[in-house]
Amino acid sequence: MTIEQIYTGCLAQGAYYIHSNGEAAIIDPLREVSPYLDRAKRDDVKIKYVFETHFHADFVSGHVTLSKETGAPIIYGPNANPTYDAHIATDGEIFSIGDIQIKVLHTPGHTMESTTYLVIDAEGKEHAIFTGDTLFLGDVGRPDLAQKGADLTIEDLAGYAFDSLRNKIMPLPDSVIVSPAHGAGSACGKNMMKETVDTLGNQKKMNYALRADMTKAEFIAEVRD
Amino acid sequence: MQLNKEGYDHIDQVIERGTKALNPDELEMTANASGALVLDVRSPNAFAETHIPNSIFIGLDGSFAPWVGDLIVDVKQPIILVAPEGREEEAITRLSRVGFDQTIGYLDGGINAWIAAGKEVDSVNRVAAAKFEDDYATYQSRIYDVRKPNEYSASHVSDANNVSLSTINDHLSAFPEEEFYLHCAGGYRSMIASSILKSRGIHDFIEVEGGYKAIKETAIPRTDFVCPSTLK
Repeated sequence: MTIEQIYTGCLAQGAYYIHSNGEAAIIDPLREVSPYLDRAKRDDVKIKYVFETHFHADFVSGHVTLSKETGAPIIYGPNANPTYDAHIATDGEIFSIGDIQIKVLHTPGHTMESTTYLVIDAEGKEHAIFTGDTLFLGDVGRPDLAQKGADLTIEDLAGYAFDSLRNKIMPLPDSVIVSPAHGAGSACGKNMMKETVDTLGNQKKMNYALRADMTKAEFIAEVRD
Repeated sequence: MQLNKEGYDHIDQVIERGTKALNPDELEMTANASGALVLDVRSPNAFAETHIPNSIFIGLDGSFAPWVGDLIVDVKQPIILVAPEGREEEAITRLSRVGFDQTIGYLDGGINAWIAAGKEVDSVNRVAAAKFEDDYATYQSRIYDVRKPNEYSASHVSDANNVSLSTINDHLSAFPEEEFYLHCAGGYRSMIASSILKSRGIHDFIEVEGGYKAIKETAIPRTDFVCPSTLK
């Protein structure tokens, strides 16, 4: 299994290439897709899925082009309603890539369709999470950027984010590697660390939004600061 | 971003549309006919020295795409580029990453072609921090810091006003008629701000090269540093 972060400094954006036994998946590609196609070609693997963690507000994703050029379906989590063809996964749905599996964890909050993808390795171990803008290193995604139209307040969204983090992400093992969609410098969060991957265990110590004794009300107040 | 929900053109089409070489006359005609924004993506120093009047500066060597997304309201805005030679395609690609697909051409031969054609040019009054130091007392009540509020709160020039770059379009009336000083952290954002002010008819100001980083090397009085994490 290979997991590679393809990081673009100007947008502080991380896309991911995951490869296992002849198959690959791309998570949150940028618009110009040749780097991903070249990467897959170099490994002589087939891109099987294009995963999107949510509708990005700050950049145009390459999912549509990449799907067209590879035939790989676009996968979104629950609540997504794009106008092009995409597979809208259910919470807990599992996708196979070679010997590994990717499990859908619906984590609404930053936006209602926000989803975290959990990599389960060939031995069945929970290995890494691709958190999109749900969880950054040192911060969480802003709840105020969601697409207009939903009848939800920032407080509602922050409340969902609190539940998603507590119920879906924090119960995972501390050894799980957190791979977010953005690092320091992005407009999508405020206190992001300069590192671009970390363990969940360390984030539980470092990230104010994951502190053990935090109440929902404190969370809602602090993410809005 | 709506494009992620609805789909978009292939980037090759976007690049093909954008890499149209325009000579100075064509640039003027195209800009007037289409209402295109002339976007100058060179360095702050190059822009300060000579630029096309009313063009907007957002340099490639900085947080280019995020500032474009932040400051240009309409993603469908037609754009004509003034780029360093050979970097036109890079600019078009980076614009398209944030959804700005309507680059309709670039100035062929760059700014030198514009100058050679005898077209009107403009400049920004950019000075070294040492000059600001000499002028500080005179301009004390007319200093504008365009960094973010949290950078300003951490430490700033004594008596400076804070109008952050992302909100500058809504605060144009904050700037005085009398000549004022403008700075940011390193001289990138203040050049963006300069171009916006000038395009809105505010020309009477001086911009500090090297920003707060350079100001810190002078004796200009500053507020004490407050660690941002201790701020509420």
